Amino acid sequence: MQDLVLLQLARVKGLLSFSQAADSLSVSEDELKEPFNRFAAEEWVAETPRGWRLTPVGRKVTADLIAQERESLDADAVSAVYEAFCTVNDELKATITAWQMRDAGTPNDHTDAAYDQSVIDRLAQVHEQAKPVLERITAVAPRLNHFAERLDRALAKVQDGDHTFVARPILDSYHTVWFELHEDLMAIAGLTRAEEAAAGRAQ
Amino acid sequence: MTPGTDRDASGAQWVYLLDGAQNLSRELIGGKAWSINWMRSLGMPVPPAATLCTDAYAHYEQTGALPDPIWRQIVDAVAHLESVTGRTFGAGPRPLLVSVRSGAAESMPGMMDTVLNLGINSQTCQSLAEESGDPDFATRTLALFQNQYRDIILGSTDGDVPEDVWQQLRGAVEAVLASWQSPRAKAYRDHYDITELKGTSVTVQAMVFGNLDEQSGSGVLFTRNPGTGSKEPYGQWLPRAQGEDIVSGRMTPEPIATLEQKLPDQHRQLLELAGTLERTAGNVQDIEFTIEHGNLWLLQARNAKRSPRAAVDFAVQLCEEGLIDEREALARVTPEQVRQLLKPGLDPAAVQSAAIFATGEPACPGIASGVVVSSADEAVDREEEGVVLARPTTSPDDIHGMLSARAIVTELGGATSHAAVVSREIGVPCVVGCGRDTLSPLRGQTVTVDGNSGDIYQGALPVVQFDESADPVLATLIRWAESLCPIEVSGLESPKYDQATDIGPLAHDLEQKLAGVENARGSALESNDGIRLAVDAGLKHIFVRHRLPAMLAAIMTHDKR
Repeated sequence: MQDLVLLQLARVKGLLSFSQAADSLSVSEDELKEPFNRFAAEEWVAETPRGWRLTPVGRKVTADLIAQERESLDADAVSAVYEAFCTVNDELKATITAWQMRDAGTPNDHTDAAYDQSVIDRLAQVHEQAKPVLERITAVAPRLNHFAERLDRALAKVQDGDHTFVARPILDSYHTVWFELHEDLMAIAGLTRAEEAAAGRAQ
Repeated sequence: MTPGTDRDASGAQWVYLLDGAQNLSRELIGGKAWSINWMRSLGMPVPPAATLCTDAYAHYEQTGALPDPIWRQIVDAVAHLESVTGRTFGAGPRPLLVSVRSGAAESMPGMMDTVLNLGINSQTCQSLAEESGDPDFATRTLALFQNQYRDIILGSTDGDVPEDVWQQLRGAVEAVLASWQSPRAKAYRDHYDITELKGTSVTVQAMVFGNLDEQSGSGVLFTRNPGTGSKEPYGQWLPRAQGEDIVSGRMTPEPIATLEQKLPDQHRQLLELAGTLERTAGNVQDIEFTIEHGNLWLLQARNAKRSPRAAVDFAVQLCEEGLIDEREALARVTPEQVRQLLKPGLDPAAVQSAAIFATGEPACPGIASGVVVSSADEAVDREEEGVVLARPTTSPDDIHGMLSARAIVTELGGATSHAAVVSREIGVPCVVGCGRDTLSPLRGQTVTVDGNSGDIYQGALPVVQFDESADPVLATLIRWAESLCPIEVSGLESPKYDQATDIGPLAHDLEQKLAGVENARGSALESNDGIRLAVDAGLKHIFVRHRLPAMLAAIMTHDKR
């Protein structure tokens, strides 16, 4: 496993536990001990009661590794897949909002099962639109290959009836994973969230 | 042979006429057909219809096709529709067109919904053009049907739509039956553990045309206002349109008041019929109607969905009008609806004089005050002080700070932004999109965030609790609930509060904690589960913030036993 995969996961999650990293990346916790012990020895990560956290040095190392990675990628291909991602992004965000709100002033109290199911169906449709984009992303930036599987898993959990996997934070819910993917895409495209938010694309 | 009393060789009846002559259960014929039969039994103008009952589904499933004895009963039913409408299925001069609809005992996503205008082909299109005197209308109807048939039944945009109307009908009926096992419908039944349903019914109904001419239209009428709870009927309609046009949102409907101006007789008749339906059902109705060339037709009636305010208002109105008794009135209101109404708000007097620092889009309702911090780490570190996290935007690595904050505000982003989505998941008041550089100057200041209005005020403003006994409608419900409640429920201000045992929050060991307790207080009692356990444990007296939701939950528990 590339160091950058783990470091970047720690960065986007803020705090990262072994079990969480193992779940997200579909590896055993044992496989993670070696790299994290090494990161700790280098003082890239620090252990807190709630999990690993990047140190300022670790943030710098992560940013440098991403910059190196960016150099090695085809910049035109990266911006093309980022554009493709953005076209699906709006619909995904509207779908998640529909899950939470019936309309602008009415929170979804999840008592209307038919409504909830219609939003779940909509999420599945967005996922179908996202699949070819995810394939392109993996082709351009192989490090991001874990996202497709994580999104598949989140949707499957939702369809199995565990609705916390729509948007619950920290948990690898569809919205959590999608947002982490967005972070990574901006990183390899050399964009910042503030710039993208101002352009109305990453809020 | 008389259709509707038809039997096959084994004596089984699969198809029922929905003429209101006999009482047919929801389980047997599905919700939509039930509503048609009910309205017909009251003598209301409903287009003639027949339904293939839910028992038939099992026979379809065995072979994957409609067995002939069942199909023959459908053909007989269509003959009956022909005779009562004076029209002919598949031929002029007055062709019969029908709609085909699914209908389980409860509504379910993933089921094939509706095919309209079935029975039109190149020949009957010609007849329809001559009959209506409007060739455009006939051509539109043909195109609409063919598109819908391809879309819903053939599942491809270039499939061949049969010219033979019986083939059309058989295809549509089988498509409805097949949709019972669609992945969406199955997933839905699995998730909500619906195992007792036998299948879907299929209803075939004579078409009426809301898009025929200027004396036509379609609409929806609520017998009372489902948003505000006022007694006035509320509705919308679209002149010269079919019902689907309202549902789809393709056209903007007009308020029902314009129907009164344009077609006053039909408006009056509609209100009369609606009143009868409401009185008979003992509940506020949501009614779909169509006017065809000046004739009013009702297509469906069901209990209306309603806002929390409307739920409490309707319950008291209907009881005071003698339509339901007090026990039923209380059963019509959920504890959640009352809790929703009683959510605390800012003191109006304080709001008047407070300075507004910034305003954005409300993203998660609720009110909180705290010191503004500008990073997630600072929010975590200063959590104890009570902080408001202010960021240009939030991203996943801010989540720990968001969890530590009492409120979240952002400069950029809208209702679908990361901050908005996450705040709603974790129930933290949130205002987004306050504008670039509006929040960074607030660092270190104490503010109050109103997630309902989107305003951020200077200082910590007082929050006031709503007094349930000051609202006359809630006070009435409280009075009724007192005589039915299996447990004594008092407010926190009660002098006996201090002597009650504090059972703390809802936790897995609550049942043990309740053992031997007679009088209890504690946050567990602010939830339905806590109340249920308290009633089951035989407690005598509980103390809660709001009495009405607790009493409703206690009555609910008691009635379920």
